[in-house]
Amino acid sequence: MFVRHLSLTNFRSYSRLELDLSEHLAVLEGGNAQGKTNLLEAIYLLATTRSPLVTNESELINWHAGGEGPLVARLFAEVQRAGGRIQVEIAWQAQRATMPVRKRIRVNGVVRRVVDLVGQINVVMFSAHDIDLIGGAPALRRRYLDIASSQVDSRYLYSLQRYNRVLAQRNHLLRLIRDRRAQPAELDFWDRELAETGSYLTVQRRHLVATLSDLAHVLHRQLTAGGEGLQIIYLPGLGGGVLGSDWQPERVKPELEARLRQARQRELALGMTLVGPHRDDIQFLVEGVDMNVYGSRGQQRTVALSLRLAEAEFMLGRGGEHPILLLDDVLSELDSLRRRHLLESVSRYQQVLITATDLDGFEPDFLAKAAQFRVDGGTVRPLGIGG
Amino acid sequence: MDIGFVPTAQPVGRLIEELNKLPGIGPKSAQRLAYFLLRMSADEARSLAEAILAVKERVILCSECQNITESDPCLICRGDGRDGTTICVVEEPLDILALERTRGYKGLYHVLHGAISPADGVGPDELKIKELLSRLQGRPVAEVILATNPNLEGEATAMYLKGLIAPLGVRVTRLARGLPFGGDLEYADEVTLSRAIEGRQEA
Ligand SMILES: [Zn+2]
Repeated sequence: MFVRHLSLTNFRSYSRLELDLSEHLAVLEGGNAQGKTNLLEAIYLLATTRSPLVTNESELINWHAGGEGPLVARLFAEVQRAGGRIQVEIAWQAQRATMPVRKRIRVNGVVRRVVDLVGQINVVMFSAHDIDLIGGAPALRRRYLDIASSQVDSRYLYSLQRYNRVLAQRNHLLRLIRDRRAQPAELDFWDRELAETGSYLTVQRRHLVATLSDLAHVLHRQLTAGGEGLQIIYLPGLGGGVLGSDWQPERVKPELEARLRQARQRELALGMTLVGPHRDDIQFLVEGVDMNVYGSRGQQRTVALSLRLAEAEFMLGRGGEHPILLLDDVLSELDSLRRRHLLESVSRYQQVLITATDLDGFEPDFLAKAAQFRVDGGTVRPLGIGG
Repeated sequence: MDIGFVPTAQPVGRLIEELNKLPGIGPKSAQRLAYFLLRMSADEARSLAEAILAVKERVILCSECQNITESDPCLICRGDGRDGTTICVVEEPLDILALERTRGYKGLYHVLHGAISPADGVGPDELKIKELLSRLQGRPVAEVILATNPNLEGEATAMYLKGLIAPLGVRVTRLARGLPFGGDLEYADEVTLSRAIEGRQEA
C-alpha cells in the first residue's frame, strides 16, 4: 500500500499542507525542527492513532493558528491499497491547550471508532529512539508488541483495550477488598474477563515474538556481515515453564486463572494485579548474551534495526500487503556498511519515506531513483526524482 | 474555594459559593452566573428557585421500581395492562424512556442508579439491588431482563445480578447483542432496542 495524498491542517507547526506522494522512495530533507519528522508522525498517527513522539494529544494542535473558538487539527490521507483506495481522517479539537481534546475518526467519510481505523494503513517506523526498545524499560517493548499486533489483528486491539480497563477496575477492587469495603466474590467477573482477554494477548504476543525471532535471525546475520546470531524470546507475565510448547488459548486461559488464584493473597496485600500480560517482556539474545543488560550502544542499535526490518516482513507476510516504511533520521547513526544494507533492504518495499538533515548519507544511485522534498519552516517543496 | 478578594455583598458571595458546587461550574462561571441572576426580574428568580425546590420536594424515588417520580408508586408501576411477571433492570431513569419509546415492552422496570465500577467506588451496596431482591420475594415474577449497558461495567453488574437472582428460580435474560459494544442504552435507536428486547437470551 502507499499514501497518494496527505493533508495537514493546524497540525504541529503546519497550518496547511497538501502533499502528493507516489510509490517507492521519498527523501525528505531539511534542518532540525523544520517539520520533517511531523510528516512521518502524521502518517504514523493515521495508521495507529498514537503519536510516536508525544502522549498529550493537545500538543498535536497548532496553537499558533489563533482565531476565535476551539481549534481543530486535522490529518487526512488517501491511501492506495491492493483492493482499492481508502480515505482516512483524524481530527483533534480542543478549546484551549489545557482543555481535554476530542478526537474524531473517519474512514471513507464515515465516523468510526479507533478499532475501525487501526489496520487500514500498516506502517513500520524506524527512529533513533528504537535503541530504547532494546536497552530501555519493559513497557516500551510491550507497547512495541501492541502496536505491531494491533495493525494486523483488530481483535488484538479490542482485547487490549478491554484488558486495560479490566486491569484498572480489578486493581481498584483489590484495594477495596483489602480495606474491607468490598467482598472477594466481586472479583469473579473481573478475573474471568482478565483471563479471557489476557490469554488472547498472551497467545498472540508469543506468536508474534516467535515469528519476529525467526525473521530477525536471518536479517541480523546480514546486517552484521554473517557474524552474529540473534534470538528474541518472549517472557510471559503469567510465568513460563508449565505450558511447555502448548500455547493454545484453551490452555493459556485456565493457566492464567489458576495463577490468579495462587497470587490472590499477595495481590490483596499489594492492591494490584501481579499476573498477566501487563507484566510481559521480551529478551534479545546475541550469541546468548542479553542485549538489554550487556549490549553495547552499537549492538543495541543494530538489533533494533533487525527488529524493525523483521516487523516489516512480518506485516507483509501477515497482511499480504507492503507496509509503508517511515525512516526518521536513522542513517546518521549508522556506519556505511549498515547504512547501505538498510537502504538496500527497504528499497524492496512499495513506499518508503526517509527524513534526513542532509543527503551525505545516500549513495548517488539511491538518490537518483528517489523523489526528493525540501522541508523548511512548515512548507514542503518537491524537487522531483533525483533532486 | 477561592473566588478572589472581590468585595461583594454577602448574599452574592453565598450564591457564588453555591453555584460553584455544581458540576462543570468553576469560580469564574459561578461569578458570571451569579451576576446574571442578580439582574433577573424578581418573578424569573422566584420561578427558578421554585423549580429547584420542586425537584427536591416533589420528585421522589418510586418505592417499587426506584425510578424518579412525582407520585409513589410511579405511573408505570400503577399502570393497567403492564405485565407484573417481567421486570427489566436498567442502570438509569433515562434508560426507561429509551425502552418505553419502543412501545414493545409491557413489563415493569427496576432502576439500579448506576453500574458496578470499583474505580468509581461503586460496588453492589451503592446500587438499588436490595430493593430489587425484595421485589422478587413472594411475588410471581417469572423473568428478569438485565438491560444494563453493553460495556464492561454493565456486564459486571449483569453477571453479579444473575448470581443473586438465578438461585431464586426466576428466569434471567440479557438483552441481545446488536447493541453497539461500549454504547449506552440511552443512545440506541428504537429499532435496535426493539430487536434487542425480542432477541433476549438466557444470561
Ligand atoms: Zn415504579
